[in-house]
Amino acid sequence: MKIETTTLKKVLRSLSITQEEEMTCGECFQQVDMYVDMLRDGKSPAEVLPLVEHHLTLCPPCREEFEALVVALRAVDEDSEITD
Amino acid sequence: MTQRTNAEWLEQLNDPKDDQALADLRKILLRGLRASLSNRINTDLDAITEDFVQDALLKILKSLDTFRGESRFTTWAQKIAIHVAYTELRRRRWKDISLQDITETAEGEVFAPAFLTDPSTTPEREASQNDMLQVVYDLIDTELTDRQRTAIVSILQGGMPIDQVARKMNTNRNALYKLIHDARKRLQQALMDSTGFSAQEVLAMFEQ
Repeated sequence: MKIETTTLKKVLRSLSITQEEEMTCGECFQQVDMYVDMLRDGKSPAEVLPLVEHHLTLCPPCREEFEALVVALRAVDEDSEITD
Repeated sequence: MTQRTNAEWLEQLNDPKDDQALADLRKILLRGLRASLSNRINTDLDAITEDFVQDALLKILKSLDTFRGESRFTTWAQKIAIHVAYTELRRRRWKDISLQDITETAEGEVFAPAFLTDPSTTPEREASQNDMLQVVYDLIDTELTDRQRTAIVSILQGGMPIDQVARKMNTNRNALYKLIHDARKRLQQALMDSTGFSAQEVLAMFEQ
């Protein structure tokens, strides 16, 4: 197996934030809507849902879907404001 | 559009379904998904979004009893639509790339084992950084199982998303996350045992 120098550094970076207890992608998916709604309501979800916050830092696909969800909801909210 | 509470959404989307509620939800999902996909998809955005929303609606209607009421109903539904769309886009992007393509080829500089380099020719700091990378390289080689090594290198070196690596390894995303989490914890401990430094301390040597 060929391992690049930059990959070794990425491994080190991921080890530096590895926790004993972490959430799987499925567990994060179950709670990410609650996390996003707290953000929309101006609350601090990282304090209430620290494992979701941590998982989003470590898992690019879950992070990608979280960011897409924020964009999607913002667009819907903006439309509602215009309609209202 | 009618504003609905979570309870009203559930009542109107369960049988017998209220056509107006279904049409409103579809409109919300279309608007949100279109916005999130607009900087990813250049052609046929409307048609592709329509297809994803159709698939998502079926999934949402089948999963209504799993909605726990911990968020707004529309946030929960949009989450499912995003997941349906992005999972499929990742599948399409990576379907023709094998794990072997990633683990047996490298686009960047391949790490050279230390015995190939002469430490006396490199400055002291660079030499100690190379020593640490050598330790990490050796630990990946000796402490991890083949599956753990393949998964970690595919994700961190190849950039393949975990769900697509899972698909190619005939497992699921959650099981693979646990496999990788176990691997990271094992490497963390092995690094401490062999160097006396934590991963944060070793990383700091590179970031000074």
